[in-house]
Amino acid sequence: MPQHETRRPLAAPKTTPIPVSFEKPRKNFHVDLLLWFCILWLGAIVLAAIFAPLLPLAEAQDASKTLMEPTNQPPFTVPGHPLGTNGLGLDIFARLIYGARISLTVGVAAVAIGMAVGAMLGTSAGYLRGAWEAVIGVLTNTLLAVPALILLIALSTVLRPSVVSLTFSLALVASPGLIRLARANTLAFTQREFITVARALGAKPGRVILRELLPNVLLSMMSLSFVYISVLIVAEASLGFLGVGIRQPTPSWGNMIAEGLGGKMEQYPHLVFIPATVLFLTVFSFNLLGERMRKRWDKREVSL
Amino acid sequence: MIGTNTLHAVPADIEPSKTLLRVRDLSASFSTPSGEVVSVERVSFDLHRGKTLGIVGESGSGKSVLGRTIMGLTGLSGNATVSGQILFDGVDFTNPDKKLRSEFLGSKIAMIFQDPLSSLNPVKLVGTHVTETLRQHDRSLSRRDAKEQAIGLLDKVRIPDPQRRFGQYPHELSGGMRQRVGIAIALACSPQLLVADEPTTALDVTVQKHVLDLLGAICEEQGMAMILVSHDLGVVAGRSDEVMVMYAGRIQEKAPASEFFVRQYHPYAYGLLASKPMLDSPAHAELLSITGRPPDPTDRFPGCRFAPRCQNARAICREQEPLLEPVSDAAPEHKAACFFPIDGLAVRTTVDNSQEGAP
Amino acid sequence: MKLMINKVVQLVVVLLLVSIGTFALTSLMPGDPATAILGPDQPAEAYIELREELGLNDPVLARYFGWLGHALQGDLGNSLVTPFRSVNELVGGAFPVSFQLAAMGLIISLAISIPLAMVSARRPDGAIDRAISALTFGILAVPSFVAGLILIALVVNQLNIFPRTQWIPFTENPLDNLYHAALPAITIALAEVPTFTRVLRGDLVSTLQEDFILSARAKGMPAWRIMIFDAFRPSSYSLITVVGLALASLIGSTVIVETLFSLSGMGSLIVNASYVGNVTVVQGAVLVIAVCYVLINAVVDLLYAVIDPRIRRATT
Repeated sequence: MPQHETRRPLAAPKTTPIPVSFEKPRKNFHVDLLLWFCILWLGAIVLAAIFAPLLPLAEAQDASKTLMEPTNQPPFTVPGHPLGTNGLGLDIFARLIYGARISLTVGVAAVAIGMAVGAMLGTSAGYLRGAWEAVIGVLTNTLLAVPALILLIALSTVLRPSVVSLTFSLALVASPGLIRLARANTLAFTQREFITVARALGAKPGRVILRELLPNVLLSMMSLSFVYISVLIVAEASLGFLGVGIRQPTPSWGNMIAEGLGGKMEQYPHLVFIPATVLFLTVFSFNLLGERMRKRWDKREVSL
Repeated sequence: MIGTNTLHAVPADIEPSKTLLRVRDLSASFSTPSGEVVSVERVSFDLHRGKTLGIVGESGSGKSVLGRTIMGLTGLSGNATVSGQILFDGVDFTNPDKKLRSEFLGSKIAMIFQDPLSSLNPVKLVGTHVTETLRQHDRSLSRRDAKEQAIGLLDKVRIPDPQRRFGQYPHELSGGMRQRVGIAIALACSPQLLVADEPTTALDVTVQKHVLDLLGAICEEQGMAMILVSHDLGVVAGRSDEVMVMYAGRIQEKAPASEFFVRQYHPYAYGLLASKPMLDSPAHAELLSITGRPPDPTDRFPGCRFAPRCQNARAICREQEPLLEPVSDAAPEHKAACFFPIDGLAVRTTVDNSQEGAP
Repeated sequence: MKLMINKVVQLVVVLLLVSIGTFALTSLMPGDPATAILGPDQPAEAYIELREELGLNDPVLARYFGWLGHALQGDLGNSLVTPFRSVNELVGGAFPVSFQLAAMGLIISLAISIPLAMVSARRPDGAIDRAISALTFGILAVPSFVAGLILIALVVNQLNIFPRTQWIPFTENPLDNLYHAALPAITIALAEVPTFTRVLRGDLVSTLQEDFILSARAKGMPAWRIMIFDAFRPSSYSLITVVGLALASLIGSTVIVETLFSLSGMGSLIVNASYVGNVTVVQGAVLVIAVCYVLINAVVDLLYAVIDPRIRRATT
């Protein structure tokens, strides 16, 4: 029962408004610009690499054809050589694009192979468990026991460095991490309903792995692929720089940067800083794309 | 016993000014991705020296934020805005600066937290927690003296074998012991005000009473004022001098404890009490539950915050905000923020439908 | 205890497999070691004799166990290329250089990352945090040989602060040694700063949400004290994991830096040997690095227990 039928209503409620700050849209704007720049950059590099033989580029490899060309020219000084020439008169712009072919091919192919192998081994280890898992575990631990770059150098001692051998070596270096990742994902997926359902329907392990687990595991590994590509591009460039990767006169970003060693950088800084900048931008772009993908993926994981 | 309430003896030697803490129009809000959340809205009250104020409300009612805001801790998270005024012992403690905060916190105002395990640093010894507080506020204190004092404090909160406990890690103690450590830390510098934020919620029922009794005894002994925050009216009953009911960031009812447990004016306060079985309520008394859920804190609709769940709500309740005012002239200290206050005592008797009324 | 035994067994198995892998390098090698040693223009008997001497005609297993037996006794064989010094001698000379560089690099990178992470974590998403996060994201894309070249161009050539090449052994003149090692070590450190900073910042941010931080604040502890004494230690688990993982890339950066600054450490030893196909040196050096790396990682595992008393009491 109300004690009083009505109470004195307030003429005007004395509301002290609490300061409200709305700041949201500003931040995303900058970030998107950066993302688009990275996409554009990677797009340009990829296209240039694919169509390199069709482009009107100056000589990139054969020094016997550039005997008459000016050497060590800085960028924007000689017509026909937009980014200048190196010590043998080879065109730096052309060498960058042919270098991109190698970097991208090796990086992407090695990640693709590493993902396929890693997903297969990791998924089967995580699903079958037992002795197979133990074997895979020891193998990955062994590969991880040798620091990546050391392993790559050791491999290059016995394998003549070429695009194929480098791809193989880099895939080998990338696979242990990917195997672990796939196994961890598999363990998580195995708890889910759809695997139980498949098992209840009498699906054999092979079928469960190939049809149910592998697609899911691969999908969740995809978000890391860009980060892996950037790591492998750096690794390939490092080998080139150390002189145990792709060897001169075939251009790679790493061996181009190494051209500036031995006191040449002081005189001709462009020999080092042009390929270094291209390498930086490419790695940065892959990293940024990878991070954005991972963030988006994490959000999806949460909402699932 | 509901409503029985012993006034704590106030030692004669404290200063004449009775008011220790004066809070006026205190608001605290947070800007979050989903919008502005106002956790505490225009709260005002006074707390006298040596008295205990019980703050009761559901989770999300803003009672814990209120406690932390009084401690000057809310402003530390970058997205918070605090307005209004807090006067502690005559000193403005609203949005205190670094210096003021480290001077007052721990020494004059102390706090006890809900979960004693998570509020103790897992990698620090029990003893270190106490001694660092002592040494922080008394730089001249030597390590050895600090240790001695800390063991004394552990003993005071009735931790058996304090020497040994001093050298243990928090995870090696039981829940009740951990909370006693929390109390020992709070008491380290003999504060004038203790903010106890759900001090017993994480504890076993049997341990709860021991810890609450200990707190009461210490307050009385030291003439310390306490703000006892709880979602449980049973915790507050018999241990506070004044009771404040919070809902959705606002104070809905405020009364001397002796009054409050006899009669509630606000439908929410009544519902809160009626939803709790009391030792002295009749054997088959129906327990009331409040239908609906608390409002979305980002939704700033006009009028009374409780209106959407209130059976007595009328048009005006959804348009204007009721002020916290005395309901009857007979009890000027008993205030409620409601246009159509009920008489908790009368209604309850009808619901019980029995010859015995409430006490 | 059972866990410990399990770990030790795994460690031994992994090391054995690594030794098999490194040994397999010889068999995988294109061409004939005897030709590599003697050069192409010797009489046929010389090759046969040398092959016999090197034990290349023995069965693979016998050769492996022979090599392993020697390696276990601390003899890694001889270099195949002039000046034919023993691998032990070469590794022994190179190891201290690399070890010091890697250790200094680790210390410097922690010395940079920990304060950066703390400053970032104080106001998550604040201006400073965003600036540091952008900076570290940028550094992440700079390979260490590029970072080293930039440092050389700026610090050595322009500012003339640090010497470029030269290695003074620590025993000869400790101060001079540190001075000369500083720039290479900074180069190594830079590569690890982004990961360390990001990981620690993330953990600090979540630790700072904990109740015990609030209770430390309620005790009147100043913010810097809380950050260092209350938040840092519970936040350092992931950092330790990452430091363990980063050892691999740390060793990688050391290899590159040694080439860049012409220092004769393990890295330049392996690279130069690899370049001329000097397999025994590569073998020995890789084995030494792998053993160190695996052992250090085992030690890192033990470190968790030191940091977290909850684990410590459980294992002992």
